[in-house]
Amino acid sequence: MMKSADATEVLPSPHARSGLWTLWSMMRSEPMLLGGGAVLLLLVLAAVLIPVVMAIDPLSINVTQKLLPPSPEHWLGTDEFGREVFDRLVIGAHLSLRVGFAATALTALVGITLGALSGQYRLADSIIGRFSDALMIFPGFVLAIMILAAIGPSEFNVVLAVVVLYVPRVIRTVRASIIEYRSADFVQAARAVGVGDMRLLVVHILPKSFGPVMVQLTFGFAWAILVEAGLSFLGLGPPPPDPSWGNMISAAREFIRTAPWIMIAPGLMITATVLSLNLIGDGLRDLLDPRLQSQVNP
Amino acid sequence: MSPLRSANAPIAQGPILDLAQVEVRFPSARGTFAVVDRVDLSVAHGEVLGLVGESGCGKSMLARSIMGLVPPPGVTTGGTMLFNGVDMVGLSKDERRRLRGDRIAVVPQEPMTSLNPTLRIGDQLTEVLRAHRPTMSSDERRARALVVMEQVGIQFAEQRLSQYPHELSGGIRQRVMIAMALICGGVELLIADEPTTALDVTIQAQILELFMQLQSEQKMAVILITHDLAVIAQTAHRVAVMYAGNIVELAPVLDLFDVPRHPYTRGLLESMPRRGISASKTHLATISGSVPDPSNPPAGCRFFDRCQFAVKGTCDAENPALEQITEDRWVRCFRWRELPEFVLADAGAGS
Amino acid sequence: MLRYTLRRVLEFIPTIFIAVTLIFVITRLVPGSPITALIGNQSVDAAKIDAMAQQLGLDRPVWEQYIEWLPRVVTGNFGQSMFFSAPVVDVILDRFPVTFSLTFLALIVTIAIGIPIGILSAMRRGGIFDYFGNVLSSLGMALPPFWLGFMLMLVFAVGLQWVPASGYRPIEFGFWNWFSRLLLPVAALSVSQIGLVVRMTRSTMIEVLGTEYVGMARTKGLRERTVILKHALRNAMIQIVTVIGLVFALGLGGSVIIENVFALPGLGELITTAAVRRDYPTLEGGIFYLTLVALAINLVVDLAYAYFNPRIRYS
Repeated sequence: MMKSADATEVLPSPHARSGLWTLWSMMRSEPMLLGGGAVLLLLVLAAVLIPVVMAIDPLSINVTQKLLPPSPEHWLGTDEFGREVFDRLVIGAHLSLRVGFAATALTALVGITLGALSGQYRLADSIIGRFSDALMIFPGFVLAIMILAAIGPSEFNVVLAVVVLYVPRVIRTVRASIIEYRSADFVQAARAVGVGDMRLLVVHILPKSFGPVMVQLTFGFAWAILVEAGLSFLGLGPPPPDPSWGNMISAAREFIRTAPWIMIAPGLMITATVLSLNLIGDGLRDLLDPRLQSQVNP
Repeated sequence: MSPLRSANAPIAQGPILDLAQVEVRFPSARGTFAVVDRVDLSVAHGEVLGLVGESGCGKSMLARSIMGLVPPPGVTTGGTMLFNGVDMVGLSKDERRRLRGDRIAVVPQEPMTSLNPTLRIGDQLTEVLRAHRPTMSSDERRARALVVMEQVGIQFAEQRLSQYPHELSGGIRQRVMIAMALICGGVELLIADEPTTALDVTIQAQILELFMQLQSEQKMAVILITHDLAVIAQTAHRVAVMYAGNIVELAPVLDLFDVPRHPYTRGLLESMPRRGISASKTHLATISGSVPDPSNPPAGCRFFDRCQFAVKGTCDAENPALEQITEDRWVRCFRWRELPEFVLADAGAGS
Repeated sequence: MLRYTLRRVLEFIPTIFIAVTLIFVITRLVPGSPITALIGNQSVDAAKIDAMAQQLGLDRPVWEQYIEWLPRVVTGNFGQSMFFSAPVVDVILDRFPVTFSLTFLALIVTIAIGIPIGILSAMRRGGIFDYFGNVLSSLGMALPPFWLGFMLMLVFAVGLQWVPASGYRPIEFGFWNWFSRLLLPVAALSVSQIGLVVRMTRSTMIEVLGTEYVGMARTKGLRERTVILKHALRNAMIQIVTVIGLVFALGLGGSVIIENVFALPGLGELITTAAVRRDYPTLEGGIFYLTLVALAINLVVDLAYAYFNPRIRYS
């Protein structure tokens, strides 16, 4: 039908379904997201459920049973103190996931707050900007070592170091999207009808940065696990005897010739966890914006 | 309006380009779909053919198909494409490449993004000769570049050769693109894809004028792709109107503007800004809705949803064929005979 | 270009200043005194501790330490190492060739393998090659480099005995003596870098292949080889060059831990042991020099980027 200018109709799409269905069909179109999500879910469930259904004791020492290869009695073998590698692996998973999650959550909180501030206020921007530039000067891992050398090795300090390293990237992303959207038409319109600055920021602008920040945080999570493992390996992570994947590898280096299984298992766990998180990140990125380039970690 | 179109009528011998049943298809979840759907079209020597239609109607894809550069995963399937009597579909990749830039050239829409930002203008001009005239020496290539640059009205040509694209103005960039099309000296068919849309209004007129002057001097055939009917009115000999992958009307330019036969053509003409129409008095007519999704075309006439003359039972049953209605006119409409006389609303008011 | 170079070099100065200050601030945040770390559990009388503190300047206010410390440090003088009882600069210069050999070889390997794979993946986007390139680069980036180092050691040094498991020999002892001990560390360090470079090269190249000027190059009838090598690669390289600086910084960070795995006496090994021993002058100096190298490489990369990009070169 030919009509005059104002009559542009928007027809409801016949394929419109519930939100959950849309989410599912989007996930299905991203096999990486689905695969990575499944593996991660499995890991989390294992870490949570295995201690509940099995008798797990990562600390019990049994000198008669030390350095035994994998067998039906000792699934992944035993270490130099006769401790079960499997048990230590499960508890190590707790630590890695806990550190990764805590670091990611804290990074999100700090990064979004500071990013929003620097996107909104010029003064805040110049101060926060200087600081994050300064932090990004250092080769990432070196900065982590320096921080832990200063404040001492502990689980919380590892989290802190990861946050300090990763937060500048999140600040940049949030700031960039705020600056991009601040002058957008819908924001101008909202401002014109009298929406206040704070409400504008929180309700209208910040949600726009949600996608890119989510993608970035997923990669940050993976990266936090790698950093935690590296620091633990160097003896700068949570101190032994509590198991972490990193300090298991470190302790196993003496026995690499005689009992390599102690070392192989935790490395495979780190790889699987990081890979699944990276796949989720890739999938999310493709889903949200196929044009976004590969995220770069420090 | 002052027509820029060359007075010399198209030369009557066989067409330079003769397309029959040309189809461009893309894969989809359910098989493939056609973006260009069985197009028949011919362009005579020395003729300026206007190709109009909304964005997404397939006109640019048709041009890419003629160039042999349909972006993957799309493919040109079926049909014949005679260029000077030779079917290009049967040519090897390298034979196709030899035609491009030499005998068939393109002037793109965006001169800025079509020039490589890291290469000097001179290099980008002479590399066309390097590809097609390998026997020329680099001095000869350079001399030839200076000649065409002069021809397209670029001043300080010598200097320009060593400049980078970002150092030139939009108008000069487009002149460089035109020079690039002419540099081999043997161009027989020029495809101009919205050549003036990205330019300032004042520059647009200059470039268009240059175009038509060169066209009549060089006696080349031009396919002018545009959605700007004013440009068509000034330059084209004949017009093909495309809609959703189909050609829906083909007519000499004056006939088309006087008596459009297809409802879509009428819509396009009505939505064209004209003297005497002011926004305060009358709405400029628009065509409501949008082009149908090519991956899921309607069973009947593709314009059915948006056509004010559509009749249920006839128009939505099958897609009408392109029907020859006079010696030089074609239209794809069941009801072209029954349409009311075409009068542009308010057309008389100010002109 | 001259102005741009000058500006970049001038910007370099405050950056170094900030880096140095941050190093100072972070290392002095410590709750525990470095002296306790130095003397360990020995029982030493308080007078001796005070004397040591005075010697190290730790008894004065922090800002005084800073003011005294800064001018020394920006000239590269970090004082005496607490542990080695030698000037920090000497200790570092001693270690530097090892770290340089490791990171530089890893960088060469990364570029030589990563960039071609990335380009081919982009050109055969969606094909088998691209698929495997993707899977392997994802895997490479997920492997913890230190663990990969041990696995390589297990297979090639312990199992096959092709190369020594660890240690370092300067190149003066003969090329193979030097090279064979670096092979595994370089491989362990390169794998994740290659993964990163493949992905970044691929996405850059895909972006460039989709530009209108590459399309126009085809429209002009240029040969496909010319289109790729002259038009696409040239522009992609401009972006890829910037990745090299990033990879180098990453490699420096990674070398710290790889040196520890393979017992390579490099800067990284120095830093990690200094961190555990709380040998502040050495820790500060080591980090400063590592960071300085990373910054210098970044500066070079920035200038190279500008050189290849006419928009910057001629403005």
